[in-house]
Amino acid sequence: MRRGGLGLAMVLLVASRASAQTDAPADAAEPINDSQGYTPPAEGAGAPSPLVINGYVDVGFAKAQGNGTSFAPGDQRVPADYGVDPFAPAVNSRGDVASTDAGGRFVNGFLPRSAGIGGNASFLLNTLDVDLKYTPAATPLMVFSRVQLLPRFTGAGDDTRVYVEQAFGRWVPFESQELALSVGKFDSVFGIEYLDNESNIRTGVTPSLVARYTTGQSLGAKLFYRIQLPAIWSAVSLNLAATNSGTFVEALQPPDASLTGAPVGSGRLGYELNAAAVQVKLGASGMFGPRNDQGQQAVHQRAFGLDARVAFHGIYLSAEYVRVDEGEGGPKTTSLGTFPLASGFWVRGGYGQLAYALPWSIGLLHKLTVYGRYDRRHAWFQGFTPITVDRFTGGVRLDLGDSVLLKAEYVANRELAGAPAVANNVFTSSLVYSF
Amino acid sequence: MSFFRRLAVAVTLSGLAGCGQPPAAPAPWLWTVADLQARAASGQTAVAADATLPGGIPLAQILSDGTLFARPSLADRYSGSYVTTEVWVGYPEVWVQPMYVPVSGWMDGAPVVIADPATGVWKPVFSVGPSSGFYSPFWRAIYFDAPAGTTADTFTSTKQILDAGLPLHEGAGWTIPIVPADLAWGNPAARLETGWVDGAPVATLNFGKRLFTWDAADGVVDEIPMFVFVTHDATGVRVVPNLRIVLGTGAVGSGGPPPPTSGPQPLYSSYWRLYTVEIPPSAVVFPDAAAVTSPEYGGRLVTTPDCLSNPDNIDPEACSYLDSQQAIEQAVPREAIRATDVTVTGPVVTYKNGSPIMPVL
Repeated sequence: MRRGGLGLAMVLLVASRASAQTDAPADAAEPINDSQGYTPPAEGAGAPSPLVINGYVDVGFAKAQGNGTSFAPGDQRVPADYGVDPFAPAVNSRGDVASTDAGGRFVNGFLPRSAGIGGNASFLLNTLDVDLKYTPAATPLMVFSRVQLLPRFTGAGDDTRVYVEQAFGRWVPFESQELALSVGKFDSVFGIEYLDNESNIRTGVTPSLVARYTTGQSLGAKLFYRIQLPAIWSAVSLNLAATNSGTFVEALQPPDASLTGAPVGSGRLGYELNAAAVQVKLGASGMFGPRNDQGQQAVHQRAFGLDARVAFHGIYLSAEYVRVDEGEGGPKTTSLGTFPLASGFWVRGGYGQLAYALPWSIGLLHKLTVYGRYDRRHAWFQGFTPITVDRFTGGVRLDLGDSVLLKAEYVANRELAGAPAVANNVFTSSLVYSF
Repeated sequence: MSFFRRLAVAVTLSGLAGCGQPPAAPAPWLWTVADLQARAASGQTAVAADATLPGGIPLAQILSDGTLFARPSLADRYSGSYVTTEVWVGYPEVWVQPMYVPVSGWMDGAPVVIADPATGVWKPVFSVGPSSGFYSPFWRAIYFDAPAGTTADTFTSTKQILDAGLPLHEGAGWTIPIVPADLAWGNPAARLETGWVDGAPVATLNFGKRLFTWDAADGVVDEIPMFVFVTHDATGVRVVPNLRIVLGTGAVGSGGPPPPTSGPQPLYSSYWRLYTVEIPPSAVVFPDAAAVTSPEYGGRLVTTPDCLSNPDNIDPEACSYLDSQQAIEQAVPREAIRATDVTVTGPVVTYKNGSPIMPVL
């Protein structure tokens, strides 16, 4: 990246949505309503429809430096995606980058999805999301699906996809307990950034440099349990999952089939303090199982993470540390194709984000939030040059009415070690309509 | 049964459900000189034993007395030998990697390379180390115009060079395996040198340039066939008899064109894919007794055994030997020539019955 990116000098601001981020099952499409207001009858006239349709449209506008990739001119090493961070020039909340065109050089499947815009300024239809939630009356079951249309254009032509991001049923067997069992395709349980996966929820536009390891949806079974400790204004939660692919994003490991025949376990143990003046949420996450980008059960991946969120006086701070180790496996398969070799891989990284929502609203402008984030990532493929990169992100978000968001941010990437410096900073923005 | 126990059973069953899946594809594997030495030190006797080459490659045909073994072979009807520095299994292809070389200027279009004053030899910056699955000893030289004052030790990593934004010039392809620093080597076919990988010094064997070609579009190194004769034992299992390997000079089916040359010296490939060749029923091994007086024919297969009845008439004009790609492809049906999943780096070190190969530097 070009040096001199944004410093964290931007004052970073809140997230009034701090209070909306709980350790409740994240796949619940809506926050749990615990108000004491009017409760409509469960059945008969006046009962709410058991079927609810929600969704959003995310329209972006982005411009990346250079050719929109992290591939440096003059770098002839192969695989081209091993010596740089191809995920750095992200342009939307999905982590899609401006381009993954390696100029004909061989790549080995360490690639994000591409928006295909290269270094051109372009409008993007990032996501058309449709959520269906069906809650039959008098049954402790909720069925949820999230289908997304992802219009994309590459240099080779149209690459639009219809993507089933989530589809699961959730059963809450005991009314007296915060216990839920979900089976199907659902969000990750690792860390906290998966809570921000959707652009109609995320404070900013782009995900962190470690989101690719922790925020992927996968197919399997999940158990959530939380116990309240009112005497000390606290709660302890446990979220466990056994899935096909663990917590990596689908571009890195296919979630829709197990390539090894054995599930990947993941989980998070959380503690939350809900005092009047301050809210603190802490968590420790883990993931262990076979790599699902190759076929050998004995080739393992493991991850460990720590997360923290603190909200006080309108300031919202979140931070996460992630460590991932992957063994060397056989021929590699991702959602993007097949590749010769699943190399051993290691990464240590994390981010810290600070946000503040200005405590006023004017007409249609319900809220103005400024935010900033610092990311750092150190990673290496077996035998390949270790690389260290970091990133400064700063932006602003406007909540316009109840169903429109406008976000704009600048992403300043730096290659600190190993990877050659390259112009891959990004300006990106996102207009999100919710329905 | 409690809820949690039911859940545990369900998760366990989901794990067992995968037991009926077909076996996973084996991992591709690369052995470098250091890996081969370690394997030999651990008591192993072969490498690539699980590959489609029967029995793999005996380590005794790669290493000997702390150095690389010059394995006898045949090429273009003559005896020769080669050494093995890397073995790949399950790699459909390998790639040329960049090697950066500082130059102080250009003279008649040739780079003036900055050498180490202590040795008078260059110290290239290699872009990928030997512990990577994507390491290869096939390097494309990228010369860069070094600023004044640059020594052979100034630039030691790819990042340093690319970040400096210096003019880059593409050069020839060089075969330079990275080897253990204590490797014994006295063969004139390669020069022991040093270089850099990510700021760390490495030892290398420089076999020179022009020993391979590659696809300019994707960097894939072109394969040349190395023919290994196979037969069947009494139980019908395919085995590799102790016969000389035949080095090809062109793609399989090409008929074996003459190799390129540097002056009078042929430039055989340094990158090979091993092919098994079913020994034709009519072929016999050149008799050991006759090899005493005609050692250059020892270990060859003869497809016209009648000619051996006259010891004075065994030269190629009278006898037909499987001693070249051309001879094999003429005498053996194509379906009896099969590619294996094994490729090797095998620079030729002698040719024409013992003449030493000298590196083209």
